[in-house]
Amino acid sequence: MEIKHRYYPHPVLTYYGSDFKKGTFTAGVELEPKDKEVEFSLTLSTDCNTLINLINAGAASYCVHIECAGTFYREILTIDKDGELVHAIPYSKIEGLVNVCSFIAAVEDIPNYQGSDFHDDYSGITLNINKGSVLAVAEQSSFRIEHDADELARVPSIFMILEHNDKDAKEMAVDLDEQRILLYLPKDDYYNYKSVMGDTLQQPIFHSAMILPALVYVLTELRQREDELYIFEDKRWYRSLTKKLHDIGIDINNDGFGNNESILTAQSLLDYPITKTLHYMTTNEEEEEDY
Amino acid sequence: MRLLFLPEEKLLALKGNIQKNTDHYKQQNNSWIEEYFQGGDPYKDTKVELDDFTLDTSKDRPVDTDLHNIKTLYSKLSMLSQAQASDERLWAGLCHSHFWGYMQYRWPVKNENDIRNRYFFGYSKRRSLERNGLARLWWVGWATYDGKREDPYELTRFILRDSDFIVNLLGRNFSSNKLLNRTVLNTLLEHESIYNTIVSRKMFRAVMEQINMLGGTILIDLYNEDDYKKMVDKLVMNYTA
Repeated sequence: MEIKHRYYPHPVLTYYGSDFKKGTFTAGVELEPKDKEVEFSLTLSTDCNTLINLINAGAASYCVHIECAGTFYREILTIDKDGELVHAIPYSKIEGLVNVCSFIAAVEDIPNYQGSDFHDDYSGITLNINKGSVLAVAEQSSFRIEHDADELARVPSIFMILEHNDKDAKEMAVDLDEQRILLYLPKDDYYNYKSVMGDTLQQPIFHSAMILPALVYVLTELRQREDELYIFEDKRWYRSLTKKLHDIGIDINNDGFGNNESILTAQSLLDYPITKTLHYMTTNEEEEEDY
Repeated sequence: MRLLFLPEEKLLALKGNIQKNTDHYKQQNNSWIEEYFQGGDPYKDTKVELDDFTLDTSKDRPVDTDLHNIKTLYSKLSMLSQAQASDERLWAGLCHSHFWGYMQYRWPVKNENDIRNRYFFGYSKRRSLERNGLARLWWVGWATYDGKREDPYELTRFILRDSDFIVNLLGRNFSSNKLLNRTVLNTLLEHESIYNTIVSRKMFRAVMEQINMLGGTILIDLYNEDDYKKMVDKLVMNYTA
């Protein structure tokens, strides 16, 4: 489930609408990863008297809907009137994007729903509310759960080199559709690459010749697609790159991201491979590096 | 048998070179995979030990084996968690190893997309679980198995009547709610047996669309079994072809 700015046939207290003249409904969601489960600490609160009265009367309840579409996990929690709950979900049930949506909802039919804090447009209208109807919506929280105890956690690089599918290809191609960025090398280049890939001394050359231009391409793509970055959010390379950018002081979700020069950012991310390449070529010695 | 999976690096190596390997996917023999990885075994062991089992490849129409194979695969692999059963590495590994013969029989390859969608995850994760040749067997079993019934796979048999039923159930987010799935399917079956209603593709689709719409205005997960039953009763009664 995802919170959309939806309008309902009855007054709903939301952070985006004006069905109520006053009142707020907020939800705090905090995650604490444990050994075998993740603990969600939920705190829901409203200062709207109409809704507080319904909750106290047992006609409405604080509700939290937790969903992980990728693993078919979906659960609704009803929370006592104090609005607080700690709820644990085993890692065996969730992986990837988890959406947490908080509501106040009718847990039984409510005939003649009225409130002094409704917008004037609702005055004089008799409202019959059905069980399950949403009465208040808080902002959604989303989390990415990645609990991978095996070798995936040790992926050394966000790039992977493959032989080009097209045997006549002469250029390196880049594919962003998988969990790692795939670099396709023409057949001969690929086998030459494989013959030297174990030589760590030559890594700076490898970084300069292949990774640097690929990274420039990736950053340029991201800049140009600034408004649709969400399409990459399920890719591990994107999340890793986002973190690496953050480490050098660049926020990919910030409006200013598009102003960064890809060629400068890429060199910084790779810790200046051109300098290292030239150093290696002139001295045949590896600079200390940790990439 | 030990349950194998394809580590991500091997998975991407195969997935990234589908175009080059298309002809291999039309062969009965999968020995090319070891050759592709230069004699090395690309798989890793999940350390899950199982009794050997095979999937049925005996029927003239491969689709007619689905019920049997769902029962077999889901019961043998029922120990998988939801997170494990939504992992591309597991299903891609099994498609390329133990069940290569089944994949050749049930999902013969015509083009690259067939390979991408049936041997790997070619769509979003959710949709891929319903399209991958093996994952779909497990997840249809997961969504429809009802241990309280005399025949726990009665609802599975019902949904297999039409491939569109599967798409219209598993493709909806509400299908993560197993109680809702079971109650909807059970209620539709009741309408057939008690009122001689014929649940057509069109009706099934209409009922699913209505439930989906309803889920946009109410928290449908707050409903109990009785509420779900009443909801479906009403939708079927009001349905006009």
